[in-house]
Amino acid sequence: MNMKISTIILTTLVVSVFISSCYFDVEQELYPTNKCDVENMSFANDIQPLIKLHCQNCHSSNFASAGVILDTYAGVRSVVDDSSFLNSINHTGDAVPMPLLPNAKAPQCAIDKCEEWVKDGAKDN
Amino acid sequence: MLERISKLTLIILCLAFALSGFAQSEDVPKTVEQTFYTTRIINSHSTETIDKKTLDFRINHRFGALSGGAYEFFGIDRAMMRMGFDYAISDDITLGIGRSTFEKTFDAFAKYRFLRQYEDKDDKHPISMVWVSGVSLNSLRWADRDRENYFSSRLSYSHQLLIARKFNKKVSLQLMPTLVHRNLIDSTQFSNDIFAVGGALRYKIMPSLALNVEYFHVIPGQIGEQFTHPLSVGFDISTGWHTFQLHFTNATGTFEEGFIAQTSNRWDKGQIHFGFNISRQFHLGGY
Repeated sequence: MNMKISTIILTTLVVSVFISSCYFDVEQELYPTNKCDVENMSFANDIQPLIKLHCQNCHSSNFASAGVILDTYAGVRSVVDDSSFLNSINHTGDAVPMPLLPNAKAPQCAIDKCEEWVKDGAKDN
Repeated sequence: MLERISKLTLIILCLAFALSGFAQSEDVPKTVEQTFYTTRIINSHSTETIDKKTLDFRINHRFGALSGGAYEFFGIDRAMMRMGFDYAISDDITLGIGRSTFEKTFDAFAKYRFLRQYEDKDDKHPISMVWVSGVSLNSLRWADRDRENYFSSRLSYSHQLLIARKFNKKVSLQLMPTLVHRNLIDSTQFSNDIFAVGGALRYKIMPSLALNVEYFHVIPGQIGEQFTHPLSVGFDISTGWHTFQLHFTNATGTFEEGFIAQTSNRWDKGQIHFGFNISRQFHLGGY
């Protein structure tokens, strides 16, 4: 009987915690002014932080998976020049789709920023 | 919507306790054991629970996609894993925690078996039923640190009713109506609540070898088009205290929100992952 009461209390507690912390947020509504700004992309300020977040776990000087090094401008430039950079992040062409795990694309805004930077000449700015 | 979930949860809980009371009030023979070899079928929970005061150390490992070819050694060069500890506070209640490399996620769950299948002649207790609720916390760095980010946006929940029947020594089936709730989603096109129905089959080939198939059908229109239904096929190899599970799956998530709402790989494109689960149990409270 005691076991049963403790079970009921435990279940009620778990359910209350779960329900009280339920939110129905949508990014579009939570951040309505959050537009993707792709003007004047800078390698150091805009592109490098994105590459660090999405790519450098596997592609750095210390851990150059598939020989790709993305923590230097020269390394990034080489994959931009052979087109594998944009093909990988857009999941197009023959390049291996990236990020590989969990095999989902980076956010569209990050992809748009990289495309704009490449279109502007992929400068080291 | 919140009210609807509360009502639904309440009704299911009432039903659960009513059914468990019913089961205990009857004078019935032996319970059916080993509907499945272990507490997980492949990705999902099974109706099996571990014994009271047992600690179960589990590693769920998923390699990269076979479609990576010889260069990626058919996926072996890549790996994702979940490491977790399950602990049984009673024979019917298990609590668990885990950490997955998938989106650097921490997760916790509570599992309660409230109805058991019995070996009675007139088949009055034909099924086992288990309730599993889980919470997962995505600990990735915020994509945009300049905006106001909320801790609640990191959380997702899952609630499952597992209904299983062992038909004979070889065949067991399990049905898994599931609700996954995500606190934050990208777009109003999608839904914070995701309803899915899962099904699983266990077919015992030899005394210590079984074939498992597990599939979740996500009701369409709730998640992005890039996501699909997780399908997994695998083998259980039981060696007493150890159970090895080897499988092929298109899911890389190793917790409910991950594999039900975020499976983007497809079997028809060869994006299949080889993986294994290893379980080691430790008795902490004597016999």
